[in-house]
Amino acid sequence: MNRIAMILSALTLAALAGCSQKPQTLTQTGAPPSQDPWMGANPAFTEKDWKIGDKASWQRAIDRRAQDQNEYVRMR
Amino acid sequence: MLLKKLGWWNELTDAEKKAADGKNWKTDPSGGIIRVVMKNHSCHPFGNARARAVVWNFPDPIPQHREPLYSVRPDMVVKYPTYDDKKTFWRLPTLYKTVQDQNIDIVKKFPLILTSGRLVEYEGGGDETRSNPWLAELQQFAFVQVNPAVANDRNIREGDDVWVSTPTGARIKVRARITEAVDRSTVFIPFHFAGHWQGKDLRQYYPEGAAPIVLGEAVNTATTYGYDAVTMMQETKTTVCQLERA
Amino acid sequence: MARMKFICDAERCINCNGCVTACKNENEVPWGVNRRRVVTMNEGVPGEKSISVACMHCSDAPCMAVCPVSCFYRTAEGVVLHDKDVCIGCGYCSYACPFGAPQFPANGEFGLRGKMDKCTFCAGGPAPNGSEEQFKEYGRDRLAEGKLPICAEMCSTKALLAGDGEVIADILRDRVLHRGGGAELWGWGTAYGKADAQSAPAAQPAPTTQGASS
Repeated sequence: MNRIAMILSALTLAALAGCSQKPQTLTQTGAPPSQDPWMGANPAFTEKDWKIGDKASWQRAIDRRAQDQNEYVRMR
Repeated sequence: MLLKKLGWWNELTDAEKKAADGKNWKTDPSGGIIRVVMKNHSCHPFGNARARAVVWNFPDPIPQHREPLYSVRPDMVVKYPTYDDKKTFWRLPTLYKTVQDQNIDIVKKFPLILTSGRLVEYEGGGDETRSNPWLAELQQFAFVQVNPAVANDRNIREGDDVWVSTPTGARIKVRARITEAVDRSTVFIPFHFAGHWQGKDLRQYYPEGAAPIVLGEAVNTATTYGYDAVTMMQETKTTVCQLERA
Repeated sequence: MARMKFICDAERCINCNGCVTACKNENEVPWGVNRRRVVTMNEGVPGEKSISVACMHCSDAPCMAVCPVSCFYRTAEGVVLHDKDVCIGCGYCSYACPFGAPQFPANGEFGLRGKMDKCTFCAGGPAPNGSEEQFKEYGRDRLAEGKLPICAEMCSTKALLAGDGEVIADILRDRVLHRGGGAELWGWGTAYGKADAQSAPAAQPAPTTQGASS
């Protein structure tokens, strides 16, 4: 009788192990919550010179756009 | 000088020689240098500021300095007086000499030169741009830029309200900005502001919701009489003033 | 891997506040919060310089280090962003930042500050790119649209450069090589230079015929 009670209580304890308090910390772990920029945004405003989802193509487009700030390219 | 070196000096008439002595192409009021160089020797200088013409409706053949009507330098007024009064200029009597003579000692009461100018953030009369929240936040009040020495003499500190008084009798209240950007004889007030009248805030007189975000004193409440005969512009840019701490 | 940076060329900044206005307009930033500011030193004296300052997106961001609820994160491009839903408005990040980038919209009772707001490199924040909620909380997400931050794109003199660190460093290096560097870059000597080969033209008219004998 005692043994069954003990096994039962052990099992109950095991079953209830998942019902503990929620963790109190608010730390962000793992991947950042914002979407990667190369996934694109509202298509009405997104530039057309790169392929959505393709990181390398986004990178190239951004670097080329950065050269718009450089007036010396026109001097060469 | 150059004419003497070239040996063309004696081609000027006596009257021209007197006027042209010590002067050059640009500043010779007789036009003799121009005549000799161009007509006698077919030399036609080119480049910036070389062209010369006789403008029949300008008062002087070559621009002469004339002191403003309200001047802080009585000695310069004597040396470079302004035009005579015009009985009718565009059908209106326009005063020059009378006003200048009346105000020759104005420096005793109003020793500082007040100049007005533009701000990057605002445009024109200012009502539209002062209603724009992004721009209004950048310039939130009408100010007067004062040199630290001038401010010190009048016990004015950064951010103090200052009464600016001018010969018209107007007194406008603006906030002081102490800066080295103006020298000891000048103060600067921007235009573009409106909505305060000689210290009084007029916001309640605007229709509901129509008042711009930022209101301030209009500098032209204080600027003085004057009309430039050459450019046909009113003399609202600059005048003389005195400051005192509010 | 792009590492996004800002460079502001103090030799070119004219204190027009175009960057400030562009940022406020694009991200609908409320009154009182200035994500970007122009700081002017030595106003009115020779050697006056202006520089435009916003969040520098530090590699080892002090704001991130001190946040008690760890609401900051860095994206793969090096942009430092934060989650406004987690932010408790304590203000620690504002104290920690040497550039004064984190700002608070409210100044209420008991130090109520509201959620922290700062320059996002126009990369928005958590929430799907370009979504309505992202816009309301963080402003435009221009990086996801393949564009660069609006402040740099609007700069009237191209003093403010933004983009991948290597690319804009290259641009600045090109610029300095061509124009020279140093403090008195735009001074009297440059405009009316003495030692320069191209000196100002003579004031006297040069007759077309030299030494004409009459």
